Amino acid sequence: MFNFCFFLVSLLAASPALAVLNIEVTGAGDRQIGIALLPFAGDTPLTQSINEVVANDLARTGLFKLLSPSSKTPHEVREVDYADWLPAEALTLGSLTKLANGNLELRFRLLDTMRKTELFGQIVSAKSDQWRAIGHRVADLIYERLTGNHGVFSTRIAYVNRHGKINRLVIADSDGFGEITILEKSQPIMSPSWSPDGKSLAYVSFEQGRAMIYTQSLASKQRHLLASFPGSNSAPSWSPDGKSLAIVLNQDGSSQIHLIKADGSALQRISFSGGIDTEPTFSPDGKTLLFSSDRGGSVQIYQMSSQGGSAERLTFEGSQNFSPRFNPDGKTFTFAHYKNGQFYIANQDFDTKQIQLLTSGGWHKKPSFAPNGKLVLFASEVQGRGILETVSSDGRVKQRMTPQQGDIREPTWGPYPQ
Amino acid sequence: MKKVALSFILVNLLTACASTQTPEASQAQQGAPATAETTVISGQATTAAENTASAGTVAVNSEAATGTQAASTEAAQTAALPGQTEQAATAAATQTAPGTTDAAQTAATTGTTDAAQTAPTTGTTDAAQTAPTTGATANNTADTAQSAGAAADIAVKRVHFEFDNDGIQEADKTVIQAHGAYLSLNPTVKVRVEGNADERGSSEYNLALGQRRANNTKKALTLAGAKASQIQAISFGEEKPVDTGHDEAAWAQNRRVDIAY
Repeated sequence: MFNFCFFLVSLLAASPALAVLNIEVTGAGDRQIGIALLPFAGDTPLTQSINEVVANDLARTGLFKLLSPSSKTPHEVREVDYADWLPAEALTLGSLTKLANGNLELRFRLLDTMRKTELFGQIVSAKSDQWRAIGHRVADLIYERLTGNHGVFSTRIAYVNRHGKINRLVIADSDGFGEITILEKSQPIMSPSWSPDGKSLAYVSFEQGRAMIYTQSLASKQRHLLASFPGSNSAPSWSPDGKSLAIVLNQDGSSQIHLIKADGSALQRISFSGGIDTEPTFSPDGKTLLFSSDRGGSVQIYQMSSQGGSAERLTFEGSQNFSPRFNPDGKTFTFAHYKNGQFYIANQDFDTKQIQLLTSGGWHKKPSFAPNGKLVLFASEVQGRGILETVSSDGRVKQRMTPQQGDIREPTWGPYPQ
Repeated sequence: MKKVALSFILVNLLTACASTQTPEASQAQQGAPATAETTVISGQATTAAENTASAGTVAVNSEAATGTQAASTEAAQTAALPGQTEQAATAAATQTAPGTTDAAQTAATTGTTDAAQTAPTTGTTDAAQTAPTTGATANNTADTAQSAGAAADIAVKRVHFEFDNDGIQEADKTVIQAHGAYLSLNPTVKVRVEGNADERGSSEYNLALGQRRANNTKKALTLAGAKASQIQAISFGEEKPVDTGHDEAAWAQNRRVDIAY
């Protein structure tokens, strides 16, 4: 289905001193843009670390080949001899300064080594403890200029980190660094879901002894108990307009999909099967829902109107397919595919119904698209421990992020920052 | 639909050897406070059971109750306490078989003793499961004796399930019988049935599957004599494995319903 060309992309910088994740990239695209990320002038360990954030972000897409053809370190355009940097097609340089107010300011430029011209220059600044954000912003600018696609490195992800009996709901940068704990409980936490504006999360917590759905503002950390009906309250998923959520309740017996307003009013059941209907997720236009159901025997993915009504089965290959999520372009959906005892991340085209396996199998679950549709984040496992992985949406490049502590579960990629 | 139908049949099978509860008995038990959706932690439930026993009040109308539920209040109280010693349970089992033949009584008693020694052959690691599986051992005796044996058997607080299935298994029916009878005799006792699933599939599907297992267990307990209002069915899905391994042995342990007083 696709050509797996495995090889390690060598990363520029040495391992950072305070890493909480180890990052490893495998695979490469057919056509890669060679780029040299020159060391920025300024505070050396810090500039190195920022450069490393940029390098990791770009490598993760599989679209870039990081090159260092020269050991020279020009910091100004006039110091650059373009011939030194071939075969790299692009070059970044710049300098980092600490401002009087304590903020960091990076002045950086992107140069085209073939045409020997500057593509653009930009100043990126942030508070001194937000130096990673500077790296992500630089990576976004480079990515956007050289590929024409919207960058996603400044977006955030959410997941559950379980360590012993402690369950933490966490948001982090798109590369898994910069964890911020939103909620910490001794009881399980499940199924985080981003509000479309990226300002709130809905999730399932067992803190009251059974599964109930909460929403929580990330800024104020204020929580709201959205659903505590008898039985299990689970699988929250926000509508694109942010006004309502699809949730799963089993107060009528089997687990069925309901709609509820974000303030907890206007509960309405919209699926009516004798089986389990769960994991609802809205299409980008809000008109339809994908969900998983065992109504046909095995667990498969179905689509129905977000007003309810009849459902169409979409998946037929493998023994089970579940955890569907729309590509933001609305043309494909990703999901977990189970066959022969292995879980794969797969992608299926709505029109052609062609299924493509994005991973080579293992314990791969809970995929979600980056908001630009170019990367898929999923839960994986190494030696019994849950980790994060990303795969490019063509399946060519994988990046694995291993936390130093805990067991990562239920990752989900957030929207563009607003 | 197929699974639901199958489990319904299993439940019916359970009912066949369950002591039937008359409408009068149900009415007699309506006096107990109905707190169906209240979360009952085990400590509270135990206290409730002890109170019931020490006060000597068991809200079963002895005229209305039939079969083994017509057991003397004394026996019921003795049998009722969770965490009670095996000897006491055995004694209770013998007492709670009024109207059975001597042979049946003997069988029940013998069965209990044998089971206490041989039960661990199920290969499970949970301490609770090494308790006597009386009814199963004494299964060649009269139904009454079997039920009486089962009534002593609430030390086993866990039932297991096949992969992606929510039907109560034949091997677990005596456990269900025992808890159903116990709850019937102690209508003020509340219990949580906690459904669990192995880690295959999605966490949300497994939450739903665990809920279905819990709901089926609740239904089976109800058919075995408990009132629905005594039982809260909840699910932990794949979130609370008893064995964190990634193999069938671990998964088999994790596909379970825990009966938590």
